[in-house]
Amino acid sequence: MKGLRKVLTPFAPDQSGAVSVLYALGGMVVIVDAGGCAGNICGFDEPRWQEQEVGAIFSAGLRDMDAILGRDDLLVRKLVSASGRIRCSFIALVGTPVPAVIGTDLPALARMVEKKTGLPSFAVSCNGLRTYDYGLEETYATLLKRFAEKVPEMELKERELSRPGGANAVCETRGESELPPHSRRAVGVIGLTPLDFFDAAEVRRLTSALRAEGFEEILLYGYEGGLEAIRRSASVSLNLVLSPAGVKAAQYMEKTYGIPYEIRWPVSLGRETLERLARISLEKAEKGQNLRILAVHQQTVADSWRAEIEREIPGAEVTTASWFMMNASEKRPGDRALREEEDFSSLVSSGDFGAILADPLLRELVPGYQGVWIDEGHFAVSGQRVRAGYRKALS
Amino acid sequence: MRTEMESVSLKSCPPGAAPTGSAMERVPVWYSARELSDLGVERIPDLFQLSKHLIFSSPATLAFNSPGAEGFGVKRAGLAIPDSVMLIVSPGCCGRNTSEISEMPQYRQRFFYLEMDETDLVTGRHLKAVPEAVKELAESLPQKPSLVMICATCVDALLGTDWDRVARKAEELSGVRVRPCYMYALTREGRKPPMVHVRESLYSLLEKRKRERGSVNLLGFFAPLMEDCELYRYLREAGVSRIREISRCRSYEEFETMAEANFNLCLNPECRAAADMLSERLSQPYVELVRFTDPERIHRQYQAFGKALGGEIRDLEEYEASKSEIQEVMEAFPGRCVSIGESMNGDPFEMAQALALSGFQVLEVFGSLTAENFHWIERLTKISPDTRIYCNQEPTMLYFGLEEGRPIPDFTIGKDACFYHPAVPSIPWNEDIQPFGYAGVRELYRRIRSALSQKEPSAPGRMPTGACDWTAAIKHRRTQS
Repeated sequence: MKGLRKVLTPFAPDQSGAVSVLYALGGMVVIVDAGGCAGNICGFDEPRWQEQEVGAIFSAGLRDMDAILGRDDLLVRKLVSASGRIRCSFIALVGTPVPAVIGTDLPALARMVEKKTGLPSFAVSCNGLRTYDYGLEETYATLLKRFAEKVPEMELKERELSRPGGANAVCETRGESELPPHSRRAVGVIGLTPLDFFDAAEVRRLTSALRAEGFEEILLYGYEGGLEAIRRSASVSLNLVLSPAGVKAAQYMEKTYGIPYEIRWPVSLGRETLERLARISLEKAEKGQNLRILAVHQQTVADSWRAEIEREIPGAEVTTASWFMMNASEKRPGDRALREEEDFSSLVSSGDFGAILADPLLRELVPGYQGVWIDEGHFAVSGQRVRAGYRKALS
Repeated sequence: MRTEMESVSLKSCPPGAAPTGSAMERVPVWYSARELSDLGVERIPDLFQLSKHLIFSSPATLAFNSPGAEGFGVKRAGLAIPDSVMLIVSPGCCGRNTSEISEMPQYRQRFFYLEMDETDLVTGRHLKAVPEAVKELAESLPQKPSLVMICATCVDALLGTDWDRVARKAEELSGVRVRPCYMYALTREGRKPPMVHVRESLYSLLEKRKRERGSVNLLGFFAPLMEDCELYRYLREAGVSRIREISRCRSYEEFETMAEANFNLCLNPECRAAADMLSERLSQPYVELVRFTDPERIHRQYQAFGKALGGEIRDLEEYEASKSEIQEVMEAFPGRCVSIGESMNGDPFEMAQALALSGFQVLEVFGSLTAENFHWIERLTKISPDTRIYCNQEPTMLYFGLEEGRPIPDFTIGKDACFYHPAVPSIPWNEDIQPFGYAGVRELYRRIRSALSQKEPSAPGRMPTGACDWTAAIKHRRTQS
C-alpha cells in the first residue's frame, strides 16, 4: 500500500538535510515549526548537536493561533529580537509542514528580516514531506549563490589555462581526475553531511583520499571552515560532488565561475569487503555464474562502490538502487529508484543477487534472502547510529 | 551572586520585558526570585512567555517543545494499553525520531507509519487510505492488536481533520479498536495540550461497568509509582483492596477493569481532563494529590486526604523517617549549593522551595514559569531571594556556561541542569518509575547523599559553540575540569 511502512521508519526529511549543511556555519538557523521538527533535528538527526557542539538552532515556536491568524509579523519580531542577542553571521529560515500548509512566504519573511537586522537572511523552502537530499540540494545552491565571492579575472584565466578542455568541459570522471596535478591545489567538497557519512572516521578517510590525489587545500562546505569556506568557494580548482543533491550547486559554480566538478565518493569500500566479495565471485565462477551485486545507498556512493567493485572484481555485475534522488545521466539500465517497501523486496526477489550492500535495517524487508548481506549503514535511512557506524567501527 | 554587568543590564530593563543590555555580551538572561516576585504574577517577563521569543533547542526543550521526543511523550504514552500498536499518519519528518523508541524491546513492532505526500496535503486523500492501512496492518501482524492508536500531527490540526470519524471508519473496516491521539505541538499551550489529550484518549476506551467498592485507579503516569511508595499501604489501610494503574495492566482485559473503580486518584494535573471525563462518563469521582518534596506539605495533604476518605491516614512513621533522612543529609553536607532543572519528575519551583527550606542553597532553577506555578516563586523569595530563574527555552541560553566568574553548584537535579553543569555530580531524577510522597523524598535525599559523596564528574564536558566564541568555550571547559 502506498505510503504504508511496516518495517522501515521515515527517512531523514528535507529540513534535516538543510540544517545539516547550515549547522556549522555560525548563523542563526530558525526552523519555522511548532517545535516537533526542531526536536527531531536537534534530538535525533544532528549528531553534532548531541555529541559535540550546540549550534544556534531555534524553533519559531509557532502556535495554532499564529497559523490561523497568519501572524508573520510576530515571527519577524521574534527573529529581530533574537538577532540582537545572538551573535550570528546570517539568519536562515528553514520551512516545515506548518508553513507549507498555511502558505507562508518564507523568502519574503527573510527579506523583511534582512532589512530590519542588516544580516544576510535567506529561506530554505523545506516542507517535511520530501527527503533530506532535497534540503541539501536547495541549501548548497542557496549558500553558494549568496556567499561565494568573486575571484579576480586573472585567477579565472589561469584556472582556464591550467586544465584541458577549457572552462566549458564538465569533468565527470570516476577514477583519476583529468586535471593535471599542478592545478589541483584546492578542492571544494559539496555534499558532506552526517546524514550520509555519519562517522568522523569516514570524513578523515575522505580528506586522506583527497590529499593522496594531490589536493593541498580541502574545503568541506557546510562541514567545517564555517561561512568563510563558502565565501572562498569560487577560488577552488575543482568541486567534488558527493551526492546527487550537490550537482545543482556544482553546476552553478561551473556556470558562474568556470569551476569543473566531479561526481564521486573517493573513499574505498575497504579491503575486507572487497576480499569477501572476491571470494563469493570465485565461488560463483566455479559454477559458471557471474556474481550479481545490489548496492543501496545514495546514488553517488552506490555508483562509486560499483566502479570500485567492477575494477577490482572482474565479472561482477553491480546494480545500484536508492531511496533518494537519482540523476538520470548517472543511471545505468537496471538501476532502481525505490519508493515503497515492496519496491525493495520485489527488486531483491527478482534480481538473483549473490550479495547485497545496504543498511542492515533493509534486511528485515527480505527475510528469505539467501545471499550474502554486507552491512553498509546509512543514517538517513535507518536513523540507527550503531548500525550506521557498524562497518566504520570494524574498519 | 550576579555580576555587575548583569545587574546593570537587568536594572536598565523595564519590568515585564526581557533584559537586553547584556545581549551581545553573550550572557544568558535570568531574573532573581525576588525580582520576579516584585513584578508579580500579572507581569511575568517576556523571557518566560514562550510565545514572545524563539525557542532554544536545549535538552529540556526537546522534551518540552516536541511532544513526541523524549520520556513519555505522545508516542510512548499512546502505547500505554497492552498489546496496542500505533499508526503515525503524518509527513515523514514527524515520525523520524521514532526509530529511537522502536529500538526499545517493549516497542519493537509497535510503531507503523502512513506517510503523507504533497498531494495528500492538498487533497486530504490520505484520510481515505487510513482505514485500509489499519486493516492491512492488523491483518499483517502475527497477533491481532488490542488497539490501533492513530497518531496525528500538526498538519491535520491545520487541516481540521475529524479524526474521531476516521477512527470509526477504520474500526468498522478492520474490526479492531481504533482511537486517535494528537501530537499537535501547535496546541502545546492550548486548552488541551497533547499530553492532556492522549490521556483522555486512552481512558475514553473504558466502558461503563458496575463500580466495585474498595477499588481505586491511580491516574496520571504511564509508569508505576515506586514500589515502596506509602500511598499503596495507606489506601489498603483505608479499606481499598484493588489499586490499579494503567502501567501495571498486563492485558487489555485487565485495563478494562479500571472502569470498575469506585474513585480515581489524579496524581498529575495533566490527567485532570481525563479524570473529569471519567467522572462524567463512568460516574467515578476523583481526588487530586500533588507531588511535593517538602514532608510538611506531604503530611498535610495526607491528613486532608484521610478526612476525604472518612478516616485518618497514620503517616507519622514515614513523616518522621523523611525528616530524619533530610536532617542526616543536611548534617553531612551543610549549605551545599544546588542547580535544579525542569527535565525531571517534579515541579522545579516546588522542589527549589523545599530544598531551600531544608538548608540547601538554591543557586538557580531552569523552569517554565506560568501563572499556575508562580506562587512557588513567592514562597521561594522568602527563603532564597537571590536564586536565579532561567527559562530553558530562551535563545540566550545558548550562551549558558560562557560567563566569567559564574558560580558553580555542588550538584544538579534534572537532566537539563546536568547538561548545563556537566562537571558536577548530577541526579537526573527523570526515570520512568515515578517518585511520590515520603518514599519519593527519601529516595531523592538518598540520591543527593550519593551524588555529594561522588568525587568524579557525572558526565563529560560539553559546551555550547555554534555562534559562540570557541576560545571562551575552551577556556571555560578548562576552568571546569
